[in-house]
Amino acid sequence: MAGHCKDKNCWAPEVACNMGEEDYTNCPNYIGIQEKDEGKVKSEKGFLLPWSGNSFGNIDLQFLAGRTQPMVVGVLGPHNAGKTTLLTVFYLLLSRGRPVENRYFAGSYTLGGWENLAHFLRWKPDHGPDFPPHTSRGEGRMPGLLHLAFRNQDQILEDFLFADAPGEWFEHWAINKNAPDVHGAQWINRYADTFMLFLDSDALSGDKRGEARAKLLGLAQRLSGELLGRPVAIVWAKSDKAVPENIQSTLKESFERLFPIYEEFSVSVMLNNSITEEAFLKLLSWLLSGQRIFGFTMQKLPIMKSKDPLLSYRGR
Amino acid sequence: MRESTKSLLIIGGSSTGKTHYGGQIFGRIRHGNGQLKMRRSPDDISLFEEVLNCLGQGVPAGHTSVEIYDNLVLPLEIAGEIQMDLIWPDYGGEQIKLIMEARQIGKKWRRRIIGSDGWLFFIRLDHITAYEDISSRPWKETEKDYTRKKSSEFKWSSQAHLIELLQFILHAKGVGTTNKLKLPAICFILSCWDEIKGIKEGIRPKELLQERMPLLADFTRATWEKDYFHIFGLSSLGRALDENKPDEEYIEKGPETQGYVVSTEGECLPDLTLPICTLINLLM
Repeated sequence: MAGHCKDKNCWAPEVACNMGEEDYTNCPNYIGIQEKDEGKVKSEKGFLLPWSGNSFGNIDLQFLAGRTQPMVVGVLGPHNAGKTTLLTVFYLLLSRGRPVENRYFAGSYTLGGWENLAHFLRWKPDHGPDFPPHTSRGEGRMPGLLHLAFRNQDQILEDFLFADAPGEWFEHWAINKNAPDVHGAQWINRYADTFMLFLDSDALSGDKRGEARAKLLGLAQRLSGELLGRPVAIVWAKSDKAVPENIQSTLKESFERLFPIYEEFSVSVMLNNSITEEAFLKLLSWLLSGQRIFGFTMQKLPIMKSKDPLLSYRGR
Repeated sequence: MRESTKSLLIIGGSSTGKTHYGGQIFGRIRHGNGQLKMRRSPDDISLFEEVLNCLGQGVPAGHTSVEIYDNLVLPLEIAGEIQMDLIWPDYGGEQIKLIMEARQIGKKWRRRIIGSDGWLFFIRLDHITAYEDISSRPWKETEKDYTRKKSSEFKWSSQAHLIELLQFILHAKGVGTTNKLKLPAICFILSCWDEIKGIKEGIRPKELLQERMPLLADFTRATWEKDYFHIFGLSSLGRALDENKPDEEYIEKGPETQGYVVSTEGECLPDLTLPICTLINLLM
């Protein structure tokens, strides 16, 4: 059994030591555990890698942020709308070499996370594809982040993080943006550069379509209030289900009113038993080409207490 | 002033064709074919001798105990001037297994990687794990009536596995990838070319990689400068050998007449040292 690190921001020995010690047992923060000598041959400790391959958490981000400032794509929508499935389809299409406009794949530090999801949508020897499991709420205060790097037409490297979060977070956030259990939704709101807002065409055409429409509008309104000019991709998911005209038109009118920059997309993984490949690629291209609207920061500047009149000067 | 010795690593999992390539290269050099020469006697040539021995009898090399050989080196030179070491740092592919399972790189291997200037990266396309998924094979209503069995054992696709491996060893070497790389220069070797099914006549190795592993192809295009990344096809033996049925041509003409590389233009050429010489030229 391995020890652990005193530093709460360091996840050695699972990944590399934050202090840069190649042998983590030499680090002053390391708390080891007396290993019983069972006569087993100990393997030579190797050079640990700083990423786990699974979806990024808060701490792993430090590694990526040292390279570029990643663009964060926030994925919003009710639960079961197909958010995780859509992200998985992006990965499957890229794996098949399907082209994205003006960009090509340059790596990912969350390949484990992607492969884990892709496994569900693949044909295996003894069973066919199935939807990825429900993204659980867990105890997390932030969403799992899936990473993709691309080179653009100017050969500049760009890092993108897709924030995949459980739909329940947004349902609560829409009602009360400061509710105690909405930290994850708040995180996405704070850091996202672009949003995807999912509309579940199945729910909007089913028995409870009135309720679905109302909840969606609530979420759209909450998003609109927090948007600060950021672009939104409106994703009509499960577009193989026909949403009644009235619902469609009222929603479209609201979007025009609520979102200064948006575009609509219709996607399905079941249209005539196959996926709407072009639509997925168009959506992905749009997300990747989103500009940062401004240097988005919520940093609070400290008030400097100083006896020096120049440094204390705060204007009129 | 003499240039320092360049270090080229042969990297690839087990059964990717590194053994036969090593034996055949050794045979070619000893026979005086091509530009490469041995600049001094290697410390240990027992593995290569054994391979050539088997091939000379018309049978494939057996599975040797790979634990013995964790660091094979051929000290070579080109044109009497440029010195290089051709190194098999992880002969049995055990290190690569360690990387993927324990997410660690052994210290000795890492030192080799740090000191290396070029890589020959072996990939065996006829052994890759690739899946059909809903983007390539639609799901039908009837298919959904299958009995829900326990989920199949989860295994990464080969593309993801190889990209992750390259990301690891680049990180171990300490090269950043914000800008495209020149060093370490890399040659992909699509090995056991003769055993790959469904190859179109005259296809270039680059096109084949794009067809079979497009995500990996994109990754290499994004990571290396165009001139510092090459792909060759390789068939060290020219055809499959059967241990129960010795091959007459091998016996009578010798293994040094067999085997070919597929050049970047899709031409089959007998000079097996071509990938090595290509790399060396990039490092000058």
